[in-house]
Amino acid sequence: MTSPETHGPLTALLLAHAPPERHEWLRALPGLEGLLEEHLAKGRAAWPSVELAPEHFLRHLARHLPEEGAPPDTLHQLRAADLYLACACAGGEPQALELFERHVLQKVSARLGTPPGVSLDEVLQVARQRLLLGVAGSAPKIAEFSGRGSLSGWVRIVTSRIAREPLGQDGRQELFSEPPQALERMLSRDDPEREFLQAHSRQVLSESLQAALAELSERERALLRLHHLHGLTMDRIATMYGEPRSSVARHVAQARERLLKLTRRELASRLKLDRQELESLLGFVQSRLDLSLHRLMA
Amino acid sequence: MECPSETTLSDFLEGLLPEAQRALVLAHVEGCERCQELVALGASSTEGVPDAGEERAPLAQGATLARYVVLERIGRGAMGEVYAAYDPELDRQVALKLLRPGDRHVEELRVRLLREAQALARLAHPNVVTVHDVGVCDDRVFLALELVEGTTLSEWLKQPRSPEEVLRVFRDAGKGLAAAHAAGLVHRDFKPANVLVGQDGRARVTDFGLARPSNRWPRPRSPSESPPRAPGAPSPLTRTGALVGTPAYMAPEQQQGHGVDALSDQFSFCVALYEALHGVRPFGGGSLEELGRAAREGRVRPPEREVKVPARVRRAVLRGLRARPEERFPSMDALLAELAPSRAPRIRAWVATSTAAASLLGLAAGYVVAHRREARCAQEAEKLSTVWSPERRERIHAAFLATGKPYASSAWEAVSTMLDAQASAWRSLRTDSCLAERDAPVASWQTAACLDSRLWHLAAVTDVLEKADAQTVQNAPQMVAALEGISACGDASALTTRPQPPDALRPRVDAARRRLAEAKARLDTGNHAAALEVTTALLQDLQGLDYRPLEAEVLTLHGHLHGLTGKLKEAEELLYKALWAAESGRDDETVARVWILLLWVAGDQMARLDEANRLVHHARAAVERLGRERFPGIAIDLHLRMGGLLLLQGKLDEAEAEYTQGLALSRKVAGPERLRTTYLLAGLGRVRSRQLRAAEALELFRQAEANALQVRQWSPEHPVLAVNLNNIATELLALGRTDEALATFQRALGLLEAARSKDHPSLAAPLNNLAVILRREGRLDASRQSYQRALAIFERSKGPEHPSTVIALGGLGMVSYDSNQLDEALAHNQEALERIQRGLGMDTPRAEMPLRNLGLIHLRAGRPAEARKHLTRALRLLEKEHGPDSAVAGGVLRDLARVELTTGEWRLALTHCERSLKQDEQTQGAESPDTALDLACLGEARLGLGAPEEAVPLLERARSIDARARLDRKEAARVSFLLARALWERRSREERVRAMALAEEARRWMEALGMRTRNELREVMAWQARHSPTLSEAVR
Repeated sequence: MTSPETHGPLTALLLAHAPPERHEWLRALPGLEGLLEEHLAKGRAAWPSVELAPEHFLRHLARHLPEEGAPPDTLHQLRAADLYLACACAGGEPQALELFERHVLQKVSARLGTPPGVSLDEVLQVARQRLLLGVAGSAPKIAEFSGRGSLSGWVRIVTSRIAREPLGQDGRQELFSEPPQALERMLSRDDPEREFLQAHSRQVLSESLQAALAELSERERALLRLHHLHGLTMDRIATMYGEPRSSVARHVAQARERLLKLTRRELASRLKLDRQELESLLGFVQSRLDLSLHRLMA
Repeated sequence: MECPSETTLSDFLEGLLPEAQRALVLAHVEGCERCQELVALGASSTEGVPDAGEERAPLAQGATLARYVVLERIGRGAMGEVYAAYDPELDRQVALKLLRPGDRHVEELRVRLLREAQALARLAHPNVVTVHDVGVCDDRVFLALELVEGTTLSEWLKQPRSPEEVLRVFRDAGKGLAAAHAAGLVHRDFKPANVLVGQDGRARVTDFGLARPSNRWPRPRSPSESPPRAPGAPSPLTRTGALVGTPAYMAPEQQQGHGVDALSDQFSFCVALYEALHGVRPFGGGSLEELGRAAREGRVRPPEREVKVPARVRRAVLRGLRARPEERFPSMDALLAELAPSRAPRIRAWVATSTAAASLLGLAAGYVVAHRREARCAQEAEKLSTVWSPERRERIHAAFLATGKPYASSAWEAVSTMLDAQASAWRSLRTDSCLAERDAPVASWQTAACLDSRLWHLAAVTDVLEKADAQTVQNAPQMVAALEGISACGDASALTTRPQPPDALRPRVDAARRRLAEAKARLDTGNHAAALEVTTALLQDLQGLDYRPLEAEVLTLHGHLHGLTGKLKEAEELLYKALWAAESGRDDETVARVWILLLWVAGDQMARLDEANRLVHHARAAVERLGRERFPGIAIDLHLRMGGLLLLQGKLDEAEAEYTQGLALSRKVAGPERLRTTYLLAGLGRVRSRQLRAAEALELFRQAEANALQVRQWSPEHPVLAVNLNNIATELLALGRTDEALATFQRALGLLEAARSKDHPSLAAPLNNLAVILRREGRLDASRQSYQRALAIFERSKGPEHPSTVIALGGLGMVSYDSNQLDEALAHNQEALERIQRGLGMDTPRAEMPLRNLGLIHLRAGRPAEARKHLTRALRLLEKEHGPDSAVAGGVLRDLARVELTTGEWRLALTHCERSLKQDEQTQGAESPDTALDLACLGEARLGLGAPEEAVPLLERARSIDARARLDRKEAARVSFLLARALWERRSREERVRAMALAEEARRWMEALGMRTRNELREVMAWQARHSPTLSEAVR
C-alpha cells in the first residue's frame, strides 16, 4: 500500500538520502512530513543565526535513522535542536561553530574531570580538532551525532575519552581505576565522620570493601557503581536496564545489603580486633550505609 | 566486545537502542568501569556529579538545626556563619557556628573542626569559650558554643585602654591559650578577633582549630588555587584569604609552612599584645614576603604612641616575638609570669632562671624560697636515692668486679661517671621544677612527668646492673649511653605533645612506663628475647587500663622487637595496632615513630614496595607535623629508613641523598640522637658498595665501626657490630683482599652465632657472603651448605621475594653451575628472576643478578643467543635506572663480552670491554680487580684477532694488579693462561719458557678449584700438550 510519489518535499529529501532498504519503513511512518517540518523548525528556532540548508539537515538525519527494531517513536524523540547544531557544525558553518564552542564545549568542560598531568585546554583543543575538523580527510566526528540523547552528553563522552587517551597508550590506565576512597564513598558520600576512621582501619575497610565487591556479581557491582558512585538516578538506570524503576531500585538495595554482609565478613577476618572493636567498626559501616541509604535512595 | 561508540552509548542512555543491541551494550557496560563512568558523564546534567556548594540562604528566625532554634544571625565570617540560638533541652542560649559547605577546602576543615571541637569539649577553662556540642545536620557541621555577651577583643581595643587594662585582658587570654596547650591543642590563629571580651570583663579565646592549617594540606601551590597575581608582584595581604591563619599575626615558622606548635601561638599572642600596647603592629610590610622578612630579621617597628609599658613587659613581648621558636619563652606560663603585675620579686627570679633551665646545675641556691617549699622540693629530689644511692653505687661496683672479667673495671669507670652525671642533672632539674610549681604549674608539672619517666629508665638500668653478669658488664656502657638526656626535660616546648594520663590513672601508667623503660634497656643490650618477655607481660597488664598513649608505646616496642626477631607479619600487625592507639591517644610522636617502623617492616624487611612507597607519605607527613627541628631524632630515623628502602630498590642516588641528609642532621644534634650516626654511616657505605666504590665503602664501614665503639660504647663483641663486619668483609673481597675478607666473615659469623640462635635472621647475610667466598675457593659443598642456610633464613624471615632471598637463591644456582649441573642452575636462577620480578616489578634493576647468571648458564649450555638476550636485558635495566655511563654496568658488559669471546666475535667483545674498562678505571681506579678483568677481556679479544703483541701489555697489567689485589683464582688463572698464549707467539726461547711456566701456574690454580674450573683446566692441559718444551725446541 505504498502511496505514489506524493511525499512532501522534506520526506522526498529524506528518502533521497536514506538507504533504499529503509524506504518502506519510512514511508510507513504516519505524519512523517509534519514531523520533519517540526524538527526543522525547532532547529531553526533554537539557532536562528545558523544557516543550514534543509537538504543538509535531512541528509544528516537520513544517515542516523534509528536501527530497525528500535522503539517506534524514536524518530519523534529526536533532539532536533541539538542535531541541527551538530549538522551545521559538521558542515563547518561559522556561526554554528561559535555557538557550539559557547553553548556546548565550554559547559562540557565545567564537568570534565581530567586526569593528572593532562590539561583541560589540551583536551578541549584535541576535542575541537576531532569533533569539528575531522582527521585526514575523514568527516568531522560531530557528524556521527545521532540526535538521540543530548549533544552535551555525547560530547562529554567523546571528550572524556580523549582526556584518557595518552594514558591509555602508555598502558598506565591503572591510575584511573577507582581509588579506595571512591569505594568508600559508595557507602557514604561527603560524610565527615568517615575521616574519623584511623588511617589503617580505613585501609582495611577499603580492602574489605574491595574484596567484598569482587565477590558481587558483575551486575550487582555495576548497579552499585552506577547509582552510588556515579550518581545516576533510578529512572535512568531503569531506562538502561529496560526494567521498571521499582525492580531496579530493589536490585540496587539488594546489592547493597549483600555488599554490607560480605564487607562485615571480610572485616572480621582481616582485623583481628577484639569483639568490641570489631563491633564498633561494623557499627560504623552499618551507620554509613543507613545514612547513605537514607540520602541517596530517597 | 569493544567499548561502544559515543553515539551508541548515548542512545543506550536514552533507552533508544533496539532490544537486542541494548542487551549487548548493557552486558558490556556492566563489566566495563570506564563505560560506566562515561554513561554517567553522558547522562543529563541534573544527575551524576553532586552539585558543588551553592551559597545557601541564611537560616531564618525560628528555623531549627538539630535541636536548636535559630534566633538571629550574629556574625558571618570566612568560614561560616554564627547564629544566636536557643537550646530548648537545656533551656539556654547558645552561639551556633555553621560551617559553609561546598568548598573542597572547607570539606577538609569540617573534619578538622570536628576533631578540634571534640578535644575542646573536654577542656573546661574560664578563659576558653566552652563548646557545648558538635554535630552534623543537613550536611552542615555546626558547633554549639557558649554565647558570650560582649564583644571581640579587636572591637574592645578600639576604645582607649590603659596598659594595665590591656595586660589584664591579655593575661586572661594567655591563660586560655596555656590551658589549651596543656591539653595538647594549638590555636594556630590567635588574634584579637578570636578573643571575646565578655560584659563581665573576662576574656575568652575562641575559634580553636577553625582556621587550623594542617601540615597535611599545605598552602595552595598551583596557580589555579592561589589568588591571581602578577609574577614577582607581592601578594597584598587582603588577597591571602586562601592562606589560613592571619598573616600579620603568624609566626615565621607558620608562614613558611613548618610545624606549628604552642610557641607559634605565643608569637601570635605577642604580636597582638604589642599592637594593643603600642598602637602599631610589630612587623611591617605590605606583602606576606615583606612581613615574613621583617619577622625573621627581627625588625620591630617602634611604638606609635608613647605609653607607659613596664620595661619588663616590653622585654617579655619582644622575646615572644623572636623569629626562632627556641628563643621565645619555653611556654605561655613563663611568658605570663613576666606579664604579671609587679609585686613579688621572687617570680621574676624564677622566670629569669627558668630560661636557663636547660643548662642548669645547682642553680637552686640563688632563690629566695619559702622554707617549707624548699623542704618539700628537697624531698622530691630524694626520690633519686632509691635509684642511685651511695650504697647502691657500691653494690653495683662490687657486682662488676665479681665477674672477674678484665674489662670490668674500665666498664665500671665509664658507667659510674655517666650515671653520676645523670643523677646530678636529674636532682637539680627536679628541684627547680618543684620550686617553680606555683608560678608555672603546667610547665613544671610536665617537666616533673618527664623527669619521672627518665628516673624509671635510670632505675631499670641500675636494676639490671646490680645483677650484672659478664655479658651485662660487657654491654653496660652502651646501655647507659642510651639513657635519654635529662636536660631535655627542662624544655617544656618539647613536652607539650607528650600526652599525660589523668590523675586517676597516673599510678598505674607510671608503673607500666617504668617496666617499658626496662624493656628498652634490654633492647639496647641486644637482648631481644628478654625485652619481648617484658613487653608481652606488659600487654597483659595493660588490659582494662584505658589509656591509649601508653598502649601505643608498649605496642610500638613490642612490634619493633618482633620485627628485629624476624616475625614480620606479627610486627606489622602490632605496629598498626600501635598506630591506632597512638592516633586515638593523640600521640603525634608515637604516630611518627610507628609509621617509620612500618616503613622499615614493609619496605626494607618484606620488600612490599608499592605499599612501602605509600607508607612513605604517611611517615613524611607525620614527621613534618612534629617538626624536623623539634624532633631531629625522628627525622633522622626517617632518613635512615628511607635510605634502606631506596637502596632495596636499587635507587642509589636517592638513597645516598637520604643518608647524607640524615648524617648532616645527626652531626648537628647532641645526645642520644647521635647514636644513629653509626647506622647512617653504614647505610652510606652500602650505597658506595653498590656503586662499586669499594674503597670508599670500606672507609665508611670502618667509620661506622669506630663510631659504634666510641660513641655508642659498644663492646667489640656486640652482635650488631657483626653485621658491620660482614659489610667490611664484602668490601675487602671486592678489593681483592681475600684472606682478610674470609677471616672477617668468620669473625662476624662467630660473634652472631655466640650471641644469637642458629637461625636468627641476622645470620643470613654473613652466611650468604661466606658462601660467596667458599664458592670462589672452589669449596662447592661448603658453599652450597652456607647458601642453603642463608636461603632458609631469608625465606622465613624476609619472605621468598625479598631481594636478599633472591640473591641467595641465585648464588645457590651458581654453585650448581660450577658443579656443571646446568639444569639445576637454570631452574634456580629462573625462579630467582621470577621472584624478583614478582616482588619488585618487571623493570627492577635488581633483576641484574639472576639475568647475568642466566646469561652465563645459557652460554655454557651452548646457547649464546639466549645468553645475549638475557644480558642485554640486564644492561638495559641498569641503564634505565642509572643512566648509560654508570659504572654499575661493568659486570654485565664483561659478561656480554664473554659471550662474544666464546662465539669469536672479537670486535664486539672489544667494544664492550673498552666501555667497562673506562667506567671501572674512573670509579674504581686503575688498580681495582674489576679493572684487571676488563684488561684480561681486552687481551683475550686481541689474541683472538691475531694481535698477540697488543695483548701482552694488557695481560701483563692485569697480572700485576692481581699481585696486589687478589683476583678470584679462576680469573687469575685465565690471565696467566692468556699471557702464556700471547708470549708463546713471540717465538723467543726465554719468552716460551716463561709461557710454559705461566701455563703451568694456571693449571695449578685451576686444579685447586676442582669442579669449578674443570672445563678451563681441560683447555689449558690441551694447550700444554700441544706446546711441550720439546715441541717448542723443534719449532725453533
